[in-house]
Amino acid sequence: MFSFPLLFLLSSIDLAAKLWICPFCLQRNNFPPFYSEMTPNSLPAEIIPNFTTLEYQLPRAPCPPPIFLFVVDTCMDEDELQSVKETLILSLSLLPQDAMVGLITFGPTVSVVHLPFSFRSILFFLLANMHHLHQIHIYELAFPHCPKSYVFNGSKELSSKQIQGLLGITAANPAAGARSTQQQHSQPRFIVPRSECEQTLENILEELQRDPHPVKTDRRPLRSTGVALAVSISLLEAYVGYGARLMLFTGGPCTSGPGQVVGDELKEPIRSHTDLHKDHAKHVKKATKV
Amino acid sequence: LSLLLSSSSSIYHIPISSVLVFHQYYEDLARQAANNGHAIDFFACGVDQVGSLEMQDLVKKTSGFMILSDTFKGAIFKNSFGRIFDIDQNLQLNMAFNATLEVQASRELKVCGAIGHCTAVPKKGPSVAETEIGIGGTTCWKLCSMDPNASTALYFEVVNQVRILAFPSSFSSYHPSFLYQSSNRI
Repeated sequence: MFSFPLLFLLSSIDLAAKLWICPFCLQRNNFPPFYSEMTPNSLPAEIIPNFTTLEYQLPRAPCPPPIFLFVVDTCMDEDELQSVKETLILSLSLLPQDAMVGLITFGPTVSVVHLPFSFRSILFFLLANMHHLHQIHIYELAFPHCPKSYVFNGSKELSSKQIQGLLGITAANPAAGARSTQQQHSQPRFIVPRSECEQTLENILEELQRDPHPVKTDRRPLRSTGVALAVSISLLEAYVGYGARLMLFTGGPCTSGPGQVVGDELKEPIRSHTDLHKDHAKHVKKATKV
Repeated sequence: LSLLLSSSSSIYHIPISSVLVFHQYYEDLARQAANNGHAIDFFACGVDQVGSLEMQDLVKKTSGFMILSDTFKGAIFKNSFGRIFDIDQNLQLNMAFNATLEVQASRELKVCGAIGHCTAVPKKGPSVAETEIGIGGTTCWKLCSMDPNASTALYFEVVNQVRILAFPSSFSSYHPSFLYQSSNRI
């Protein structure tokens, strides 16, 4: 019925024979060897009524470090972006030394940062950033020579397999758990231990500019939050078995590509409570399954 | 434009049938992240709406944090964000990652479901009840992220009234497992 028997308060115990019965599966079990010195005066913690919760620390292979992937919208106001940058730089110092970090920025485009060890040629990245329309940048954090970022079209829906193919990564097999470090080294490194890339990431964050595309006065900035999230989640898929947090910082609704909440024209107002109530919301309806 | 803005509190009064069926795209993304055990946090600023209604599943299904405020410059955002990185008495981050909650129940009880920020892991078994309360149909849930204040309510159904009156000793056992910053724990 259950995969393993359980020793706890309600288990019936035979101290003389060193046997106990699991109340769920009614199976008879021997005590594990480290309980061999058990006497009625020194019972194991599991069967002392005061202890209702037990926490076991597993003797498994080293626990993978936590991952923090920052996904930052570059379409927000200059001073808001400045504040996010400052907060992120501050939070880097709060993270544990072995924590792994990654950076993705998005506007009309999504960009994934390939974080370098040295921090020359930030200019390159900025120039590259200017020339692409409708893309998402992913920064590769461990490229040794110059900062490099992978750029995605923010208006096109991609499956996670396609995204992983474009980034040159493979999804981890969930059954295998955390992967060996050797396996990780063979892939482009977008998520790197903080100790290796702190300076670089700080520099990239400091240099991060507001999205350069001009926004007309009657338009909302193009923000491809949907694709940015799809890219980030697919990127993290290579780290199944790790504990990860994806932190999304955004200054407004998604206005471009899949997951669009509202169009970019200001004359189209965002769905209001009344629209939702009357089932008029255009983009919401498009995404319904019913 | 400002006339058309709605406050987030008014959204709670929308008929539940229409709310539950939106945002398929984000729901799928949320499910994908939850299956991998990864949490998604959503921090937004803006005086207008930011689309959190459509995107709420990302946070709800993966038990992430959500901070909505007018500006990223204010104390609301900065202090709340700082709290995420609090450390505990072991000088480690006060949070757990990739958490799963599994429940075992004695024969008199069946598991109806859980109410909380979690995603069901398909796991059929004899102790899964037919009635579903909250997120049901399983005895195992992904919580993705946990902190000391995380709570999940579990609902059970009594199947054998006669037996439970005769032997009032029904019990259930909870097995959360998670990654602490430096170790695997159960």
